Amino acid sequence: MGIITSHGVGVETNWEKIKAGESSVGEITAFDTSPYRGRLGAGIRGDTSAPVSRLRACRLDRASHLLICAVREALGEAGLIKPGIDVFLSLGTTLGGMLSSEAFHREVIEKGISRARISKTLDYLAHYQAVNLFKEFALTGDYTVFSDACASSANAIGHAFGLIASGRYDVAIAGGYDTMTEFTFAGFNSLMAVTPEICRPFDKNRTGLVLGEGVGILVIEELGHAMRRNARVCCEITGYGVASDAYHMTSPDPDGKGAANAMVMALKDSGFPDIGYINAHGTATKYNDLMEARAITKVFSSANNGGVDIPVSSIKPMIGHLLGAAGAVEAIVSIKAIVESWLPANINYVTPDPDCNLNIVTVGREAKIRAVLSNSFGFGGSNAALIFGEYK
Amino acid sequence: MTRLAVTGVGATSPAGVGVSTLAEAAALGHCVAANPISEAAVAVLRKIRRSAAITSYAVTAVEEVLRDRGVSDFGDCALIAGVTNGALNFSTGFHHTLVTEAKDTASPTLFSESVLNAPAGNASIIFNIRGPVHSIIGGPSVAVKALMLAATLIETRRAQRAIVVCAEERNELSSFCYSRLNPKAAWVFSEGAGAVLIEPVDELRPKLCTISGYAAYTIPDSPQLALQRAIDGALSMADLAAGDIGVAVSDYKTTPLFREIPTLSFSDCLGYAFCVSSMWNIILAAMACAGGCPVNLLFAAGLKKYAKHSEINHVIIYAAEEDGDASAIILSGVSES
Repeated sequence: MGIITSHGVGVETNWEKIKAGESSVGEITAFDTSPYRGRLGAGIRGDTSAPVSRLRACRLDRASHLLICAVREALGEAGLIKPGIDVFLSLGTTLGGMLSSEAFHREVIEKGISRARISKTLDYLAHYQAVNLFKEFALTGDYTVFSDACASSANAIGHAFGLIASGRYDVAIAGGYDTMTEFTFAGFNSLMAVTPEICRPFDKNRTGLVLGEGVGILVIEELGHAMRRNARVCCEITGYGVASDAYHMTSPDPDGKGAANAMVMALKDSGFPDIGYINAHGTATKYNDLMEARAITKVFSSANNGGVDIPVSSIKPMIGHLLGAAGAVEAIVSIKAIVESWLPANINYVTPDPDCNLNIVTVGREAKIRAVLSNSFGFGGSNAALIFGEYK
Repeated sequence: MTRLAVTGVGATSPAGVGVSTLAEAAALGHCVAANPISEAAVAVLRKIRRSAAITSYAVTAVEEVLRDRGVSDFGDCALIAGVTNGALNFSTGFHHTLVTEAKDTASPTLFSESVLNAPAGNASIIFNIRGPVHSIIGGPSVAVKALMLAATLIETRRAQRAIVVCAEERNELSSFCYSRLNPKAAWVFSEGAGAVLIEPVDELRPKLCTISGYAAYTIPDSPQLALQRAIDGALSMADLAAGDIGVAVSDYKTTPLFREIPTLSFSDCLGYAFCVSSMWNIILAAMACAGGCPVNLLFAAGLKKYAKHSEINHVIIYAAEEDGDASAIILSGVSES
């Protein structure tokens, strides 16, 4: 696994801070936020350039740099820096190289089209970053880049899981990435979705989301293949569900039918395991949290005879909403929760919302967890659910 | 492995709305007068009047597919959209506002309708498609990759059938960039959408053709090898030899790969619309496999110097890019399935 977020570089760095309930949210400095409703964000600090050997670093968008760093960590941990076999690369992103596009467009407006640097467009499109990974790591195989809004990387992982389960590939590199851009920040502000204060999912007084940036990468491998090469197995992916709301481009279906369908599909896929923790999408917008709470209640109250006592938390108050990377980073946190027997906290939660009647984890704590459900929902009514199980 | 068939097609192209106009344009070698848009399509477009052009193209093509097939229940249906550039006119408009105007006046519609999954999201809302809805991004190869994703969803029982649509819209700024980055390419950029419905083969269900094989491969250091592997993979899956293929179809960026097999391109009359061009090729090939007129005339014209290819049983459609991304799909006539 490989991670970069505002918490820092690396799975262990991120996990220690998540375990401690730390927040890396602060004032955004990458651009002027004064005209906007919200000013907070979870940007990655420090040098983010990746050492590259087969690419020209100056031509790469920040997204490619972050992605290369996280993939290098994941392949290194998996012992597959040189895979030597065909791999399937399955990525999710909402923006691709949007920062390059922003810079190019600004130059077009300020200097004119003929004087704008065309090199800024070389890593703009959302599939170029995938091709860059093939080049840098000398990969062969195939790739798919999902852009299903905030469910992008959960679907990327789910698709990789499906391809490996069907025997098409033995190894997949799956995950997602997105960078902090003014385009997105202005967009979510225009939708009144960004909070002017702190992010507090499922709290009665929640006022919206905080944007972040980051990458999450998982190396997914057919179990027999992993065992034959004595790889360390972190957990098993046991279920994936995906369904659409068919309701509205930016508002979730208030009844949460699509979200519930995705969760039920994942549970069926997984053989209805004993879910010990739900890593919620939990954006802290009024309608998304309400929808998710209703969907969780609908799914688990029927499965558990009326009560929903499964611990639930969202890690977005700590590292922000990572959009296309959210599902992948939250998948890694879900896996760490199983491996480390720890329930991450839903920090900033103060006032329970009677309409979101969930067992919110207010303070991180030890707990034996055998299976985790991780939810991801997005614009356009995309709903995805992944289930990770303890490897025995 | 589940055997799949193409059971419906839809298109919006420079020739107009509908696969018939697409086929006529391809057969004649130039765009003909557009047919009047159907009342059903007009009603659908009214619902998305604030959306980007790419979304209206996608939705119109999907509407034709569903009308063609006569499907009305989409609870078990997946929708996969293939996109290369997305709603560039809306996104450049939103950028422009941020740079030149008061930032807090930026339109939420420009933002939400410029996201890459807006065509798929809107289509799922309008047609009440509640199964898996995905948008995948890539160059011309993404049309086949979208079909492969749809096939995986059907095989893994996450959907019982799938609509695959590719859509693009022209944008002045991007056309300038592509032309400047590839001055020798002499592209004539185009726009529109193409959609197909794929379902498991069922003897009772009408179909245009079967999908015999497909593969995609990426080798940045060797684009030609990537294409060869994609074609070999598709042939292997179809259990065919290269000599079994009656005709190959590709776009004009791709060098003809086969000496023995005639290779057709429709880009001269339809223009180059990135992933949509590949989808138009798939649609035209599907219609040719079904013996649909006037597409058979088109193939006859293209094949006249190859007398032995009087019948088309298997068509390979392939796409390749300079960055080493390649894909291929083989469609077979119903009699061959």
